[in-house]
Order: sequence, then structure tokens, then C-alpha cells
Amino acid sequence: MAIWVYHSYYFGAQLLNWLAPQNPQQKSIQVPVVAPQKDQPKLKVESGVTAKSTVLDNVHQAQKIVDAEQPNRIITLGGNCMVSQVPFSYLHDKYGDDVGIIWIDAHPDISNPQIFSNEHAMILANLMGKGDPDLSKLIKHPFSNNSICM
Amino acid sequence: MDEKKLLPELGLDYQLEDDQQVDVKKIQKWIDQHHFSKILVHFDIDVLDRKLFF
Repeated sequence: MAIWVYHSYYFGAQLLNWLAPQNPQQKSIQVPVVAPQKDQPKLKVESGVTAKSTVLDNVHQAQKIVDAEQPNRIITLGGNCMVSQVPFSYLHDKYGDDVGIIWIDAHPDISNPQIFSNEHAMILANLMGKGDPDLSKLIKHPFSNNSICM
Repeated sequence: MDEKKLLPELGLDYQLEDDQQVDVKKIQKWIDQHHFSKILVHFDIDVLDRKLFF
């Protein structure tokens, strides 16, 4: 089941990219995350989070791209919910209090390592600076509750 | 522990999954109140059918 999930997240991002309309005015960049393996070993829980070092690597890869490109707008095709961390944080840094979040999700994603081990369930709490401490500290300007509509 | 128990602590108001109505006026009011000129939208396809996405 877990392997199915990893492959599906990865494949889903590729599929969405293929389905998305091409726009020559819009640069498309793939974040170089590690592809799931055929015989994927069970991922290790690190500091209460599954494959935390890999998650952090992926976040840093996305951050490097955003820092280099300095876009005004970002569309992400993922992947799991963690794909929103870097773009939302970057755009909040860029536009400050002009920015609000509308969160459309069957889960609020406000968990933390004390109650759940998958980082994708902590993303909104991370953006508020109150999720996984290691990921939350990457958010320079945490979102307030008033700037989030769920 | 259900993460939804953290909602009050974080000051968030979460529309429950069995509520099928979207209150557009409420969202517009929230945008106007806070003078947001830019909206970030996070959309997870699990909202289409929660049972399919555990």
C-alpha cells in the first residue's frame, strides 16, 4: 500500500504535467526529487517523521529553484500536499499581508510529529510555524490564522 | 489523536467534509475584510472523494 502511494504521488505529478496546457510564456520546471524504486524499502521514521531527510532535501531543491527564478506567480503540480510549502512561503515573503490562503482539502493538514508521522499532513501547520519544528523553522513569515480560509 | 482537535488551538475554522455547500459570500467577505489582493489556492483532489484517498 505504501509503495502504491509513493508511486502514485510521483506518477500523478508526471500525469498532471502532461495534461497541463502548454504555454510558451510560462516556464515549467521539474523539482528533481528521487523517483520511487521498484522494490522500495520501507522508509525510516526520523525524528517522528517518515523519510524526513528526503522530505527536507526535496524542500531545499524546490527552494533553490524558486530562489533562482524569483517568479511572480507559481503553479505546482504534485505530488503530495508538501508541494505547497515552498511556493506559499516564498509568495508570502514576496507579497506579505496582501496574501491569503484558500485551503481545499479533505484534511486540514495541521498535524505534527507527536500525532502523525507523514509530513504531508503537517504542511499547513508548518506554514503557520506550528507543525514539524524542522520544517516550520524554514518559514520566514508564518501565516496567521486570519489569513487562512478552509 | 485526530488532527482536527488542533483546530481551536490554531484558531482555524474548518468546513467539515460532509458539508457540501461552499459559501462563496463568506469567502468573498473574508477576502474583503483582510484586503487580500493575492490568493494562494491549495487544492487536493482528495476532496473529490475522501474514501478513495484514505
